[in-house]
Amino acid sequence: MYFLQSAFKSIRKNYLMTFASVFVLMACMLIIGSAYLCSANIAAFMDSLGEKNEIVAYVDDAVEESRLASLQEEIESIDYVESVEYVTKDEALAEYQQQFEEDASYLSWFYGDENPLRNEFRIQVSEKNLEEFESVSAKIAAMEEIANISDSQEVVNMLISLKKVMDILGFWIMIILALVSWFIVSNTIKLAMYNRRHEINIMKYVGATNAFIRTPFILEGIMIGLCAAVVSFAVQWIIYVYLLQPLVADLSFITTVPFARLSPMIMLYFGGIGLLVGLVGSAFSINKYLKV
Amino acid sequence: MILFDDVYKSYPNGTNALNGVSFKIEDGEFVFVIGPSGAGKSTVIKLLMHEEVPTGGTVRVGDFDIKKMRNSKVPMLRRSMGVVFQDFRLIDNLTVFDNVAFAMRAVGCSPRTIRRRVPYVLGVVGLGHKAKNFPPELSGGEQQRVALARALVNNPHLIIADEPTGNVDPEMAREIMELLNQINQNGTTVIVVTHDNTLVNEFNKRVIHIEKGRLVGDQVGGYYAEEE
Repeated sequence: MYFLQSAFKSIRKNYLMTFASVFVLMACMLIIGSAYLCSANIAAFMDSLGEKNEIVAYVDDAVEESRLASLQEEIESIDYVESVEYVTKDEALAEYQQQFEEDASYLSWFYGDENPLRNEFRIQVSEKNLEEFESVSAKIAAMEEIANISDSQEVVNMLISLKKVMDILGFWIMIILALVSWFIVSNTIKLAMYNRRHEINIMKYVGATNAFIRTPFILEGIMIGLCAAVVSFAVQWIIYVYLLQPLVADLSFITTVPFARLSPMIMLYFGGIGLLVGLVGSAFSINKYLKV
Repeated sequence: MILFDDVYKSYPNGTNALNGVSFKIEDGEFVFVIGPSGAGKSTVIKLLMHEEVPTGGTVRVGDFDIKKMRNSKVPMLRRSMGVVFQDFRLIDNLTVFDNVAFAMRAVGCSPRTIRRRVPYVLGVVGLGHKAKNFPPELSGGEQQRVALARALVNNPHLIIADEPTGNVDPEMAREIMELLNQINQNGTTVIVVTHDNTLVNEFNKRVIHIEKGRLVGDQVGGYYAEEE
């Protein structure tokens, strides 16, 4: 109780510096949080692409319908192919129109009543053998009757490298910002100690242990850290749910991960950073006035 | 018991503050430590409190060997003594009550003990009615009595007073010495470092005289000659 009172007293007396350090810590946490949210969303997007593990093979228009059944069998016989589904171009068009509603009208704008699509095979590669995905798609692409294929491999590769860059960048941003926060918090605590150096001096003379003198300052550091964590969490939530998600919702091909699913991790990050920076920042700045 | 055995103390800047000082103070004694400025009186206090350690010789306070003891034991040493400074060293934004209570909190006393003990000690120094005042509202003599109450509150075996009458008027100085005398009669060892020859001569106690870092006199009822 005494320690808490003492810590609150110090915060009140030192409110400008406390406010400044909470603010700087918050800025650091928000940058770290945003980097994490980006990375998590990219990962989720990659997963959703990966789930499909599907190759779409478009059949050349010149191929006669009688050949289709044997063609499907040939594809099925390729190693690691799990299933093959034949979709006629009319079915594909109907699907497309259903999926994109308004945008589909552009098709008729360009092509009139003609269906620009081709008959296609949708091929699932066995999920256990995804590393063979490329060789399977190469084999199918090499077939004479197949005009061309599309698979998600390229996009996945691009996203993997983007995520790698984000992760490395995020890690270094986190290290640098943690150092900045540590510097700010430790200076706040140093100032608080300077303000109370006479008290500390008297405490030493009456036989207070160093741990006893340190505790309120360490509590002060932890409170600054946790306070910044709570406010940052709220701000991050507002930015993500009320600004970012409505903005991204307009782009129909990207879906964002719900905040609730990412929030435990964000809470853990912010709480951890706040606690650690508060603790370390204060613990290392207190020794100077204890040498009496 | 306090023992100084052939104690030397030199500071990093080359000053030799003590040069082979030896004396012994038994429990329950009242001792004046006198000498001109720069004689080494303050160094004696710093050694007693483990603010400094001797360069040579032995300093013992009770069971503590100042030179050999571990730093973690220093709080325990200091709890066995109460210190009064010339400049009072009170915290201006705490009330008289809290200034005294502060010393009890610092050693981990319970709030209940503090509520009972502080008014009693303030009564002993005659400041029971000023418990809610702040130090700047008090006279120098009253502030020194608050400092004395703070030194007394944890029931130490030893009171060290460093020029306790330096900043108060002569009448108040006398009262403070009377208080220290009373405390001593109850069994507490009292060491008073002072310049004040009138008081030393009036109270007729043991006087340890230090000059230029050497012991030049140690006798009961010692007389403090006019300062040279």
